Amino acid sequence: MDTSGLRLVISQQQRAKAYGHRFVVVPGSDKVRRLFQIAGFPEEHVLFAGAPTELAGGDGA
Amino acid sequence: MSAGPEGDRFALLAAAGEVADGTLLLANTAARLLGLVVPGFADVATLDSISPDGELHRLGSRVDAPRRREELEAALLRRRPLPDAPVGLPRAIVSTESQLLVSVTDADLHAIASSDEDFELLRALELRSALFIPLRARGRTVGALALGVGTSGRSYDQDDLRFAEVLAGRIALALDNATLSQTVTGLERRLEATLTNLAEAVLVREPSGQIVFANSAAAGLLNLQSAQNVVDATPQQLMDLYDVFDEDGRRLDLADLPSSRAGQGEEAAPLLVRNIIRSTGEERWLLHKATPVFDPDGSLSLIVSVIEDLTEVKRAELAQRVLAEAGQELSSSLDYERTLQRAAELTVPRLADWCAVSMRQGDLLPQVALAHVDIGKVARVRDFEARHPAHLSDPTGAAEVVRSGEPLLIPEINGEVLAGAALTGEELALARELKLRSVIVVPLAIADQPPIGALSLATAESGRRLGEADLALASELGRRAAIAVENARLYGELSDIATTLQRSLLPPDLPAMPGFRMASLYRAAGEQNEVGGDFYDVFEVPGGWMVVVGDVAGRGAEAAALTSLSRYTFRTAGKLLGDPIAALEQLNTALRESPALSLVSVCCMRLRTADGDAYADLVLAGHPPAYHVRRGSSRPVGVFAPFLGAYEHGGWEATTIKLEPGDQLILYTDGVIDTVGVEERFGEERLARTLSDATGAADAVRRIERALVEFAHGSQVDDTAVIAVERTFRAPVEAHAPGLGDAARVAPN
Repeated sequence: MDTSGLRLVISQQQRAKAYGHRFVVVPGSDKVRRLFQIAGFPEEHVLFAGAPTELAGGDGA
Repeated sequence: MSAGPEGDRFALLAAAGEVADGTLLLANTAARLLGLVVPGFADVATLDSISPDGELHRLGSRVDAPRRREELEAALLRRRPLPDAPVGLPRAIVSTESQLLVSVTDADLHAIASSDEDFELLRALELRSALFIPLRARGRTVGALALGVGTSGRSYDQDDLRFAEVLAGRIALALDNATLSQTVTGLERRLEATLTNLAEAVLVREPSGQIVFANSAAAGLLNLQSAQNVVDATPQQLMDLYDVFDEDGRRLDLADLPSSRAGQGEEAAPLLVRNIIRSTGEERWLLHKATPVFDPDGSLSLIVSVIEDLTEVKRAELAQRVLAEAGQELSSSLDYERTLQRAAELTVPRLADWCAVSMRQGDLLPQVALAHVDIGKVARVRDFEARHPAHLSDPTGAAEVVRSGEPLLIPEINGEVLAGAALTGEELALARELKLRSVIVVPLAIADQPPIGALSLATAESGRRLGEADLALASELGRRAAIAVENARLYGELSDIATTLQRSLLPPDLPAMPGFRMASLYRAAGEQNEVGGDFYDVFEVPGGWMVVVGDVAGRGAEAAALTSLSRYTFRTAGKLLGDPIAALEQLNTALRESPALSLVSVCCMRLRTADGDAYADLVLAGHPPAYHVRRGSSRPVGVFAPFLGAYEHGGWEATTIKLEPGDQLILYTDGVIDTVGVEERFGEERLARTLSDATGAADAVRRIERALVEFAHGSQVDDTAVIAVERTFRAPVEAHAPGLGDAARVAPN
């Protein structure tokens, strides 16, 4: 995954937001997590789902 | 019976025995036998054979009646014995016992006759006695013999019956041998007719090599007028009519052919040969197959050779193969002169003995490719070309084809052709020295565009005569070569454009910054005709200097436009505002105004000095951290924050680093840490280790470059940009002089 991949993620995130949806990413490998970290997504744009329950609408705690 | 003395009977038996040697055809045998019996032992005789289905077939009749002989013999020949007659031939055959009618009565004749007319015929024979004898040979009944006497005044008795049975044994053998002989002869004739009419050439040789049979297809294939011409020639005489090569162009001798190998008792695998008829230069591809035929005692009897003409198939296959290989070669590299040379080498000796390619260059038509199996001859022709360069205005040959765009085929280069070619004395001498026989020149041209050169094929020592099929193949080869050359030219133009554009996205030189020393690296990845998305810039701002390294997603024209926008927007904003975060926000706004999502990652820093100390205010925007190198260790610096162009507010933060003399800051794009090795990517940890011992900006850049070269595996997919800034120990006096100072730069790869 590189900047082209991040571009895709951001465009899909913006598209989801425009339609009133929330876009989340299931945690991947450390390298992928590092890439998202470098990309510096702001706090208000939580990208990573904490657990499968969050995907299902739970609190993910 | 009063039928001649004993000596005559022995002579009759001996004569019948001679007829039994099987050398006569069946009809002739029957006539000879009947001629022996009548009138020596009978006045009337008929001879019948029996077919496998039991049917009687009258082979002949003989009557000793001078006045009515022909009439009676014809009637008897037509006559068919009554199958169920109580006496006569059918009865003798069924019972396998001879019958003697000592005195033939009208009652007997009525019993034998099938009709009144038949009865009258039998009476006309004036028979007094009759014998009906089955003919048996090799344990089976092969026919029947009917004998009668009357007009001579003779009659038969028991002695005559016994003699007749002995005689019948000889006659049966003669009849059977003749039948067998006729069967064999018929088979031979049918076999010969079959072989003669086969489309494949068939030759039959004795172990000595002498050809004993050849069909008309063989004559045609060997370019001889008749099959008899083939039979009359020795194998070596035939071989001398042709130049024979294997598929790899190796000359073959008679001993190499399967028929010779079979004759020597060796394994004779089918062999495909290229056969050039010396007299005409015509080329044929022939598949030789040979089969030895052995006698019952195991000795070699014959060698049957079948030669199949595969010329059309082979030419089509060869054409496809040459075109495919040449096409692959022509598309393998953009160095068109090299690929044209290799494509030319593919054609010899398969298509011709010589292949040359000439390219139009102004008024000249230099030869850019030349191939022949003998490199000595290539050197000879190249030397000639060097001394006598071809011009587009030359009256004939490649120049004429390039001017007209029309292909040229000269099947036979003879004295007349050479005289009409308006060659110089030296050119004429060279043509004669090379023994050129046939030549084709086709234009290198695409569709309706004027030719850019010419491709020539020529035959010489092979003796082959080029024809229309070769012209069609050469034309296609020329068309593909022209496409390859045109592609290389277009690619070259694109590469020049890309290089120029890429250069415009990077600063021409790093400026001299007082108190700092700099070095940079730029490695473009991918195709030469694509503009990369990495950029860097260094420029002076109020109160210091701005250094930026950025990465635009993608490659090509779109990335180039975005890179240009980013670099110059940031530069303008930076120069006006002097603050890295403010400059980033301006760039972010500009990017977000783009119709499409335009993302740029940036690492930038403002370098400033205060009270003799140097500081760097470093900001990350979607970019990997910079590295701060100090006294043998390196550490990442910067606060991760979003890409530019992604969000309205990015929350970018500056990290301020105080730089001591000797400290270095290394800014880079992700092409460095994403460089692919054998098992993994280069990564941040490896970069940190690479930089920890760096002794200065130039050393840091060199270390990165060397490490990436050693680590990389395969072609890289991302550009690489690095810029290193080193705090010098003391500020140079000529700090602000443009083009001077400590700036260093590692040449881009």
